[in-house]
Amino acid sequence: MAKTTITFKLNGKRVQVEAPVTTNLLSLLREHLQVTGPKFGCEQGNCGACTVLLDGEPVNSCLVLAPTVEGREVTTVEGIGTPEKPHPIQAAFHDRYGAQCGFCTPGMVVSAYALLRKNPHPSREDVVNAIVGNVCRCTGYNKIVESVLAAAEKMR
Amino acid sequence: MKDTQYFAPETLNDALKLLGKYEKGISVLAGGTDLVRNMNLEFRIPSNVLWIGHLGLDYVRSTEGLIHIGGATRMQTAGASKLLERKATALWQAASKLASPPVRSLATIGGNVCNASPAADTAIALLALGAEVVLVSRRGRRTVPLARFFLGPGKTVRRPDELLLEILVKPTGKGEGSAYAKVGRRQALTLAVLNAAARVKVDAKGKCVSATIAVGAAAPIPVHAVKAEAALVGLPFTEDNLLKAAERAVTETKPIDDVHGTAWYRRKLTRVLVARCLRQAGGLPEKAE
Repeated sequence: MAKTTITFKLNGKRVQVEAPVTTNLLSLLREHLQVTGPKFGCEQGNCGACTVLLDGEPVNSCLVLAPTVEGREVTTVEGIGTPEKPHPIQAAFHDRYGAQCGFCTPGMVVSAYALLRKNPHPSREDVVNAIVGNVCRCTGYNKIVESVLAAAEKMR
Repeated sequence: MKDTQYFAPETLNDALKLLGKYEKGISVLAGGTDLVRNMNLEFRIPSNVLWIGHLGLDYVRSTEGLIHIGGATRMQTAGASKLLERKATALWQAASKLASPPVRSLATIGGNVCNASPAADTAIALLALGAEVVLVSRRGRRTVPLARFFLGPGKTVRRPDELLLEILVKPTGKGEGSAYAKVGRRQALTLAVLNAAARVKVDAKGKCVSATIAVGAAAPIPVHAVKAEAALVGLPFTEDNLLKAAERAVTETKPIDDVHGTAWYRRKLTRVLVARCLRQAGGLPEKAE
């Protein structure tokens, strides 16, 4: 397979990685860079488990061809906070049972983060519209929406 | 199998050279929400990929009385455009509701149009707005009305060496409006079971001066409902007359039964959604349907 070298900023740090040109960003992160926050779900942009920020905007990393991130900036859930120093959104998901099995959580946190950066005063509807691309099969969404609203309040 | 080659040209000229060289053997990558999805799920791996993200085609601007929408304009860009919200409302509605936020930060209007799904959200809106597409190649440039662009599912008049450079829309003026409506199986992340759009101009006396109506997911290509338009133009723009036009639109479609819905349901929806778009575009109050 023809490989290419891709250089980009990942969670604030410059990384350089070699991968086949047909790799998608999700595989690049998980299999080539061992960044496993973004999850492998549907591979067609329907589930949102692989959501990351590309140049500050939420995208389905499975739909991004890896070479196109050359010179750009990618943020995964790992770049938002750590277990030792969780972001208020992550803390709220923990405190308010916003996560059950946890598979959708990294994507949910990234989508919520993108929303709160743009809109610090979201209504319930704003939160719902921000996470419509993230499917959760456990929570019924209420706990997730409550977590995001609580985080928004804490961050203000 | 030969290894895939990836190209990310910095200039339009370089992009057109590559398209001219490889023609059918090269796939244009704009947002990737179709192309990369097909690579992932159907192992349709292109021999050559041409990424157009460096060509500066993600824009919405107004020049010489026309709205110019770059071929690689993302749904996110279109959804954030005040110009589209006011002057090409149908397109703004279609783009800002499409799929989900992470898809909207990738998916492009040019891609939506060129992939030629009969249900394509922005294609239906643009058809009703009377849009034209500008195609360029090393041989020159041509402008094609969107009403003559689609040939079948996934098939358009775009030649393999051509790139969709931009889309032109005449902004709605005084007494004029446009609207888009869609019914899917859920609110988000869904293909249209049926979608429709309309552009209507009503004069000071309440007469319909012009109307353009489009219906999606009801035939192999987006339907330009010319008979419905003819049934409305020149008459007073009233609830009765717009309902007659909407009924006429039903006769112009050829819906099928598929996993998303039945032909019967699509005919019912055609009448309801065309009427809804006409009311909204022409400034009549919503009606319980």
